[in-house]
Amino acid sequence: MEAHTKVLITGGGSGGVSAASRLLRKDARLAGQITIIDPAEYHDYQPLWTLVGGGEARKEESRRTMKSVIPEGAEWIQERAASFDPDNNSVYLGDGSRITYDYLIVAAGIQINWSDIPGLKENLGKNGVCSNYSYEHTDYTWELIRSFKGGNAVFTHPATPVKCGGAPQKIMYLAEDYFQKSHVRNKTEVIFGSANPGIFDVQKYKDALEKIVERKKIKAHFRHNLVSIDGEKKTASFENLDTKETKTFHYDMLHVTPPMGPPAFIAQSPLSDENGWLDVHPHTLQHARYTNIFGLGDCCNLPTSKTGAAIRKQAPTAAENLLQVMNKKQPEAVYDGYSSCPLVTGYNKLILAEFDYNKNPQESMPFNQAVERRSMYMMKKDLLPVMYWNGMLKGTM
Amino acid sequence: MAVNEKTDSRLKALEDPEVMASLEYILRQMPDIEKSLRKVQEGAAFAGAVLQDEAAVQSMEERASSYRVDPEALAAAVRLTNKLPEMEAALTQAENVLSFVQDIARDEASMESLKKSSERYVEPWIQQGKEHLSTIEEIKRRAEEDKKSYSLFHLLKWRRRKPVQTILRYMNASLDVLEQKK
Repeated sequence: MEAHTKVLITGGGSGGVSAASRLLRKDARLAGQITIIDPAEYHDYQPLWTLVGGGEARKEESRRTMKSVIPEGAEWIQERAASFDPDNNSVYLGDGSRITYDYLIVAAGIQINWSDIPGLKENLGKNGVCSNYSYEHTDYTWELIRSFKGGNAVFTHPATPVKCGGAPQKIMYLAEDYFQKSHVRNKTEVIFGSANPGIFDVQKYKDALEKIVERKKIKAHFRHNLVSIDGEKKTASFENLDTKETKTFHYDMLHVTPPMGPPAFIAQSPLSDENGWLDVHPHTLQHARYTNIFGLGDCCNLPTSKTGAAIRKQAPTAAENLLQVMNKKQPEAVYDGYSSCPLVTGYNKLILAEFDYNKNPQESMPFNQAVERRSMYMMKKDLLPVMYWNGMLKGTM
Repeated sequence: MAVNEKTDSRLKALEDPEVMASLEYILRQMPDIEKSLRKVQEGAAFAGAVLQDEAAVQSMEERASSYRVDPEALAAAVRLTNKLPEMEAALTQAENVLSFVQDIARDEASMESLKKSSERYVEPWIQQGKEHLSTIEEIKRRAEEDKKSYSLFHLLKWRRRKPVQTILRYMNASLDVLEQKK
């Protein structure tokens, strides 16, 4: 089967849907000329999964059907993208069919590589191993936290880029807070094994978070990367990235942030950079070699934190610049690397980190956002989901 | 240059493939060119007819004279034109906010979620209010049921109770402050 579309979008996640909505809002003539390809039946608001794991939200609230979020005027093909042929303006789908396009937006997200850690896939959802990075297993995280009777609670952060880099520590802070409430904290060791050199990249928030780690008496092991899990013995082994030594911890609860990487069909295509990520200009989001291709979101090689908030700022830039190219102009809209991480530091406590490419804080509130605040927690829990479904995905926020 | 030479040079030019291609293109476009010319001709004929129609010209003159298109109005129009980009941005922003609010109102899941959230935040206040109300009702009930008569001895006994001490402290402070303000 062969088909042609004016604008083809690979990926119906937050990037793809918001870019489609913005294009349709800016140029009504594009109605019926935009096609989104995505094999998923559902569209998930993943930032809520931290709160699901912490028992503060139901996971069903984070999920809607893909059909319900596709904007009017765009067509959805429920199929996966298999390969790109940008020299012939073509994308091949999983069923072997080919779609040609005039313009392409790649917003395919990030690939979770569960199999890269021996013992992870086979123990996930049992033997005390959980992860908020899987819709299926977010409630197992809460089950482990609320039934925890003491021992070692181990949390990990891998040596790869991840979506929402703050999530691995958010669930740790919530768990620690809950252990206090359930009176098991005095017989619990909270351990953070992170491949990163520090708790956070942006100095202002790093300073604040270091104090929180100290206050909560969390044993942080930086430059330690999880390399294997033994579910029966309940042990997790970490490699010290500097000395190459292996350290093994017994765990009673293990929350794993899995290693992630670029989607294979991008990494193997002419669109990728040397590391496999979609090669785009950091400010215009136009592809480095193909002028009719734009990219946004986690699949791109943008040197910033991969978050939904970053995508919210990237979508208008990608849409605006694509329209400019469509009108034979140079792309002028600029993305400055903005990203944000609402760092939940406990129940009803949150630090709202906002920063740019240069790791400089770019705060939008009229107060110091490095302070833990209940108001910001309320915003994350109750307002951001509404802003996502009704604003960001509709192209108005 | 002799006539023959001129003819030769023109024939040579015609042999140039680029010239041939251009001529071929022009020939192919002739129907469209003819249509365009016809439209221009029709437009000119219409304009001519209008100008010859005295009644129509008179009506247009009257209408134009009723408009206030003086230099001041023209200057204002220019200023407004300059402001159009800002106005467009503000209007787009307002349109986005309106769309956002309308979308929430239409979205049952979001409305339900907002309702639950607001209930959760308001609930403790309502609960607290209910507790205060039940305390007041209990006091009222007991006072109405109480038929005893109280003596100075009772007052001396109450003075050791914490709420009475608090009330007395407030009374004392109020008297001090009022005395000083006099």
